[in-house]
Formats: sequence, C-alpha cells, structure tokens
Amino acid sequence: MAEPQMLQPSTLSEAVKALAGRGAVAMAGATDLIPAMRKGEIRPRVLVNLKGIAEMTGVRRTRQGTRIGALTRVADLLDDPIVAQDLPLLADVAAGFASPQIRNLATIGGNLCNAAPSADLALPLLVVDATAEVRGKGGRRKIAMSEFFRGVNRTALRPGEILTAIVVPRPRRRTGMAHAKLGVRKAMDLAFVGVAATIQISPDGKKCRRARVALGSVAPTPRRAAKAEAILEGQLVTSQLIDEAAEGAASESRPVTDLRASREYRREMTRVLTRRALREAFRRAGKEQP
Amino acid sequence: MAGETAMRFRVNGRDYQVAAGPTERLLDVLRARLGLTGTKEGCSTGQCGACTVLLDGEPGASCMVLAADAVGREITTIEGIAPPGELHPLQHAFLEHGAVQCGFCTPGMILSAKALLDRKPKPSDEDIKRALVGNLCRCTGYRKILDAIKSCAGSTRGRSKRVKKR
Ligand SMILES: Cc1cc2nc3c(=O)[nH]c(=O)nc-3n(C[C@H](O)[C@H](O)[C@H](O)COP(=O)(O)OP(=O)(O)OC[C@H]3O[C@@H](n4cnc5c(N)ncnc54)[C@H](O)[C@@H]3O)c2cc1C
Ligand code: FES
Ligand code: FES
Repeated sequence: MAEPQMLQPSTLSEAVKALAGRGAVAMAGATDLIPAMRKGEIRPRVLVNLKGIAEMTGVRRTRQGTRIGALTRVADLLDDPIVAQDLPLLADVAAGFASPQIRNLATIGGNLCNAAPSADLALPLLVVDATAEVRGKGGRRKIAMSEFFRGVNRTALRPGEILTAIVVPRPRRRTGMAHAKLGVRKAMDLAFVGVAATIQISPDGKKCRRARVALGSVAPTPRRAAKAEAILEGQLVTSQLIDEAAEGAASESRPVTDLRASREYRREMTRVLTRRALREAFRRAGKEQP
Repeated sequence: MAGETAMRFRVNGRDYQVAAGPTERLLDVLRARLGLTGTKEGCSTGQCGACTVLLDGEPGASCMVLAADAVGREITTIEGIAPPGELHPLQHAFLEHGAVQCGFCTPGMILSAKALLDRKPKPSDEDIKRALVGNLCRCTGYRKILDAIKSCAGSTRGRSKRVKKR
C-alpha cells in the first residue's frame, strides 16, 4: 500500500482546501477508515485529519438547539451533561455502541458520514429531526438528517464537504423517546435491527400528536418509517394502533439476508422492536410534565 | 522507507523519537519500533481488545489508531503500569486468582481494568463487565478475571507491590 500523506489542518478553511486535493479523504476517529484502507477498499493519497479543528468539537446550547460538534466522540456522548438532559436517547444508544476501546476513538461525525446501514447514532438523530451543518468550497449549508443518507456508505455531502456539527432542536414537551436494538451480543456487535421512536402526546395524554420512527440495518441506509408515523399521528393511542404502526414499519423495511440474519427474520424483528420502542416511548411521554 | 517521518511519542512516561510512516498503526510502532511486545495483536479489527493501551488514561484499541494520531498523547502500555521488577496490584491479583492461562488477553484486560479502577475505585460487578466488553478471552473464562479485578476494588490507585524475581 502506498503510504498516504497526513495533513493536520487547524481551521475549517484549511481543511476545505486540503480536501480539494486529488485523492484527499477526511479522517476523524479512523475506526471505519483503518479497516477500509487495510482491505484496500479505499486508497487515499492524502488523509485530512480533522481532529485539530476546534470549531468541530464540544456540545453546547445555541438558539437553534443543542449543537453537537462532529468530532464529539461516542464516549463523550455517554458522559456529557447537556446530552444527558436534552437527548438522553443519544447517550443510551452510545452506551450500547461497540466497546470503551472503540468509543474513545469513534466520533459522531464519522458514524454519520460513513453512512453504514447499521449506523447506530443515526436513529436517535432521525427521530428528533436533527440537522447536519456542513461546510465546503461553496460555503456553509444545512441538511436535514432525513435527507442525509443516500445509500450504503453514501451521503448528501458533496465531494470535499465536511460535516461540522449536528443540531438537535430543543426537546419538545410531552414527548417520550425510546430505542431497541437486537444483535447476538449485548455489546460489541452490529445490530441486526435497530429502532428508535418518539411520540408526542396531546395534553390529555390520549392522542398521538406527532410520531417519529427510525429503522437501522433493514435498508441500504438508516431511514424514517413514514408509514408507521402516518398511522400514529392524530390518532388515539391504543395497543392495537401501536401494533398496526409496527406492522407498517415492517412492511416498509427493505432488509437483506447476510451472514448475520435473514431477510425474513429482520423484517419480523422490525415489527417486534418497533412495537416495543413505541410502547416505551408512549409510556415515557405520559410521564413528562404536561 | 519513503514517506517515513520523525515522530515523537510519549510512552510510559518516556519520550521516544521514531521514524514511522504516517499510516502505520500505533500497535506497529509499539511492537516493532519500540520493542514493547506486551501489547498483543489479535484480530487487527478492533474487536478483541488484545492491543488495548491507555491514551491519556483511557483505553483505546491500538490497532485502530494511526501513529501520527498518537503523537502528543500520553500512552501507557502494560510495561508501564509498575516499576521494573514490580507488579501492579492488578497483575498480582490476576496471578493469585488464576486469571491467566495463555496470557494473550491479559495485558488488555489489565489495562481496561486499570482505567476503570482509576475512574471508579469501587465498581459494581456490572461496571466491571461493561468495562471489559471489548476484551475477549478464549481460555481462562471471565469468572476468574472478574474475581481478580473485584479483589482490587478500592485499593489499587497508584500503588504497586514488589515481587521476587524468580
Ligand atoms: C470493533 C468495532 C465496533 C464498532 N461498533 C459499532 C457500533 O456498535 N455501532 C456503530 O454504529 N458503528 C460501529 N462501528 C463503526 C465505527 O466505529 C463508527 O462508524 C464510528 O462512529 C466512525 O467514526 P470515526 O470517527 O472513527 O470515523 P472515520 O473512520 O474517521 O471516518 C468514517 C468516514 O466518514 C468520513 N468522515 C469522518 N468525519 C467526517 C466529517 N466530519 N465530515 C466529512 N466526512 C467525515 C471519513 O472520510 C470516512 O469516510 C464499529 C467499528 C469497529 C472497528
Ligand atoms: S488487535 Fe486490536 S482489538 Fe484485536
Ligand atoms: S488467557 Fe488466553 S486468551 Fe485469555
């Protein structure tokens, strides 16, 4: 393997310039990049190490919501007091992510930009309508999380664009969130199926005002389950309605058979986990202050 | 070799000047360039934990870190947790509890456990299990490893025991 060069820019504009070079690839925690380079799937000429860019670090509250720098490590999500308050679901998912040895290296930006069908951190961000902030040659722009994933390892980023942060809107009232993940082991395992859900209930606690369901590992990308959401919104929440929504989610999943699980099993588990996540989200919504 | 550059690493409290390729892994630098072979290479894919080292006190898989990325960080390997000729209490406890068979997983296990105890001196069983999810052992089994770590709870911070050289 020809040794790529490594550049270590300290500002975004330097990084954007570096990424315009031939064969330049952005690098954060490198936990996806190293295996890909070793397998020869990618042969970068230049690695642009983003980790020195201060603007891409840290978690803080802004007028738009909670801003999570793309360089935030999975381990930091677990410990961050703002994440714990504003988006505990993300901390929960981070807790089940790989192992301490990987969580201390892997970043949230890398997880999203790698765009694996199983990208765990995508699910909580999809169900809270998060936005990606990106920066490239053409300046800054925003991409809704639901528009971010385009295919296996493909995102809406243009060549040379950098994901700088993820912005999560302020938590909504009367909203419950939950997730469910299934793999062989509890830890250190890519999920066969992952589900995250949020339900916002009406002031009387009976109707579903707003629902979001996101599915992982059952389609080329992490994705929202629009059918399931439509079944729920505006309706009286009953266990039958939740069953119907779960059925809806399973019907819009597009799983494949691989070494880890069969298509049929994944689809069935999509139904089971969606039901579980929705029930839990509804229960939690009822406990929120009206 | 073309593309090698001089890099400065801080390992076990000492500075080393090493010529390495920028995408050589930290694991390779430690084993092949510095001769610190206590750090093991198992899976090379981040899953087994045999290559665990501490980076600024936190466990990391050294097969998933590029050398150039480890510059400027405080790296601790199994060789660095007790003075020469002495054992760290965790090492002692692993021996006492029969928590070592082939020993291939042991350096990584001990470093993961050390990071946990440094952060939380009295961990629960669940804390210990969670701290070890990224360390696989294929011979001893986890019971004795868990017992060894438990026996150190509340007592390991910074101390080491002198052992007789055989
Ligand atoms: C043993 C092991 C276990 C794992 N377990 C899990 C798991 O449980 N769940 C899970 O979801 N994933 C898991 N992963 C996958 C991986 O760790 C994650 O996807 C991780 O979050 C990637 O982040 P990174 O910072 O290491 O990315 P990198 O490897 O640095 O980058 C990944 C990709 O994103 C691009 N990129 C990175 N940052 C940016 C940016 N800011 N802007 C533009 N492009 C960027 C890179 O060019 C590259 O294409 C695991 C990996 C390993 C090795
Ligand atoms: S060799 Fe690094 S985790 Fe297995
Ligand atoms: S003692 Fe052999 S792998 Fe653990």
